[in-house]
Amino acid sequence: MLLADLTRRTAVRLALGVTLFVLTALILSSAIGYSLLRGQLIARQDARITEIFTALQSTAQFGDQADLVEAATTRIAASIDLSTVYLLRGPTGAVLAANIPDIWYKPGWSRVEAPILGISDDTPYRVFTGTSGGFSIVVGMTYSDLDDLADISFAAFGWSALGVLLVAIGAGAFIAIRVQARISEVEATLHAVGHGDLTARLTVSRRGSDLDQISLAINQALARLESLVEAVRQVSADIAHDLRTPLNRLRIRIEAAVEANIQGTSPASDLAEALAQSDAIDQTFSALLRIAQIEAGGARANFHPLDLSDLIRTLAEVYADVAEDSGMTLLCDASVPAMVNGDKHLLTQMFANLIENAIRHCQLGTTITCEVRAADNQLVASIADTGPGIPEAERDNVLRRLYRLEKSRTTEGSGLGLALVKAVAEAHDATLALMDAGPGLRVSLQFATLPRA
Amino acid sequence: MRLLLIEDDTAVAAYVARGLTEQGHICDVMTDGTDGLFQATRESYDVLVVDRMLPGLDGLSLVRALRASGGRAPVLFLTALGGIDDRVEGLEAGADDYLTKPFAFAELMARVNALARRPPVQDVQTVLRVGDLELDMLRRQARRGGQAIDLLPKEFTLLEVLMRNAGRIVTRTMLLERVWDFHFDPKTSVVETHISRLRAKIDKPFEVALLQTVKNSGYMLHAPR
Repeated sequence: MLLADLTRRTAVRLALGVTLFVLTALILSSAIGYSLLRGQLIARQDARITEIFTALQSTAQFGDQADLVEAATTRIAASIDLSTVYLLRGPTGAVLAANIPDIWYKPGWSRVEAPILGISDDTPYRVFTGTSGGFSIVVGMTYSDLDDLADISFAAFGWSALGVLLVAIGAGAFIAIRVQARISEVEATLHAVGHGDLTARLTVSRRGSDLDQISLAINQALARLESLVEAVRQVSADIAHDLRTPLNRLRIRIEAAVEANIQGTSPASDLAEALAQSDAIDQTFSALLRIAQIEAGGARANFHPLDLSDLIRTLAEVYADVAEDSGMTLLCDASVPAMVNGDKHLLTQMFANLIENAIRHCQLGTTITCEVRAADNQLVASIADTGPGIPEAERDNVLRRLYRLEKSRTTEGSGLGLALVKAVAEAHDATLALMDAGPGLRVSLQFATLPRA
Repeated sequence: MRLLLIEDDTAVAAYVARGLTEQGHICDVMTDGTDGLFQATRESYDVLVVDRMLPGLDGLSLVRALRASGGRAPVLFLTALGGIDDRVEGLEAGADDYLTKPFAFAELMARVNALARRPPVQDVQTVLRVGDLELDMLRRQARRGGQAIDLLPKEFTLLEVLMRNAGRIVTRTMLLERVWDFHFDPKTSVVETHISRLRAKIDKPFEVALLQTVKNSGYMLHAPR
C-alpha cells in the first residue's frame, strides 16, 4: 500500500524516471565503447599474426629449411604458455616444428576452439594458415586479451552503474522529498481552507521557482477569497443589525394601526408611517445588494471608454438647480478631455452620491465644487464643499457600510452612500481620498487615463 | 384593457389582479411559466406582466419564446433582481419595461398604461400637442398659445416624456430613467426641482396649469376639458 502510494507521487515517479533514463544511457555508452575497443583489439591481434607469418615466410623464401625450422622452434620455445601457436609443415607434408596437433587447418583466417589445438582452455584461437616456398605455415594467437577486455568492461560498467544508480536515487529522493514537502504543504493549506480557515497561506521562497509562482497565485486567490467572504460576513452582520431596527419600528407602527382599528380610531397615519418605513427598509436592502454586486466584480463587463468631464458636467447641470433650491451654489470646472474605462451608470451614481451628500449634510450658503484635473497619466475628479467636513479620525469609518457620524444620525440616510462610492471606486481601480478642503470636505478620485489607441 | 399576469407568488398575483380589476381592466393570472406562454400565444392581450423567476419556464426564456413565435404584446418584467445587468438582460430578451420588487401599485399601473398606449414603433409625429402647448421635435422648440418658451436641453426631454404620455401618470422613477438615465434613487429632490423649473416656464405665465402632481404616484400632463 505504501509502495502504491509512493509511485502515485509525481516527484517519486519523476526521480525513478530520471534514474531509468540515466541507466539506459550508461548501458548504451558502455556497449558502444566496448564494441569499438574490441574492434581495435581484433585488428591489432590480426596485425601481429600477420607480422609473425610474414617474418617466417621471408625466412622460408630466402633461407634454407634448417633456418626456418630453427626460427619456428625458437618462437615455439618462447611461447611457454601457448598464447601463440605454430605449425610448420615441409613440402612433403611432414611436420617440421609445432606446438599444436597435426591436423588440417583451413587456409587463410579462421577461428579454432582451444581443445582442437590440444589446449585445455575455453578461449578460442585466431589462426592464419598460408604457404611459402612449398612450406605450409600456421600461426595462431589466443583471444584471451579480448576476454580480459570483456571482463574489464563489465566490471567498469558494473561499478559506474552502481555509482550512477546511487547518485540518481539520492538526487531523486532529495528532489522528491523537497517537492513532496511543498506539495504536501499546498495540500494541507487547501485542506485547511476547505475547512473554513481562510487565513491559511503558503510559504513562498525568494527563489521565484515555478512552485513559488504557483504558491503566490494560490495565496493571491486566497487573499481575494478571504476579503470576499469577509465582505459577505460583514454584510450579513450589517443586515442583521441595521435592518432589525427599522423592522422593529415597522412592527410597532403596524401594531399601533391594529390597535387604532380596534379602538375605532383611524389607523391611516400609522399605516402611512409603516409604508414609509417599509420603503426605507427596501432602499437599504437595495443599496446593500448593489454594493455587494459591485464588490463581486461583475461590473467590468459593462466597462466602456467614456469622458469623465462629460459625465461630471452633466451631473453638475442636473444638481445645480437642486443646490440652488437648497440655498447652495454648485460650481463645475471640468473642461479637460478625460477618457477613462468605466461603467457609466455606476460612475454616475457614485458622483451623484457625493454631490447629494454635500447638498444634504451642509448648511445654507455652502459652495460645492465639481472638478476634473489631468496630470501625467492620471485624472483626478473631485467634489469639494465648504461645509463642516469630516474629522480626520472618522474618515476611514465613514467609508464603512451603515456607519453614520453621530451628528448625522438624525438626518435621513442609510449610511451606505460612501460605502457605495468606495465599492465603485475599487471596481474602477480608482484611488479614493477624503481630504480637508479647509474648510469643508474634498472627496477626490484618481483614475488611470485610458491609453490612447 | 386586457392583461395577462404571469406570477407564481399568489399573494402578489392576487394583489395586482385585484388592483387591475378595480381599475376596470380584465386580468388573467397564470402561476407557471409554461402555462403562461401557452396562454399568451393562444389569446391576445394588451400587456403581459411577467415575473422573472417562474416555475416551469423562467421569465427570460418565456419572453424569448414569445418573441420568436411572433408575439408582439408589450411585456413588463417584475423582478426581485434589480441590478442593471439584470435589467439589460431582460430588455434584450424582448421585454419592454422593467419593475423591481417591491413596488408600489401606482408605479406598476403607470408603467402598464405607458406600455399599453405606446404608439406604434415608427413614431412619425414631429409636433406633440397637449392643449395649447406644442413641442416641435424637429426645431426643438416649445410654444404655448403661440408664445415661444425657452427650454434647456434636459427640460426639453422632460417635457417630451410628459407629452408623449399625456393623460397618464408618469412616475418619478420613470422620469429618472428616461430623462436623466439615472438607475438609482436620488436622496435629493432632483425630479421635484426640475419639475418646478419646468412648471415655472410652461404653466406659471399662463392661466391654466397643464402639469399636475399626482399624490404618491408621479406627474401627469393633460389638457383640461
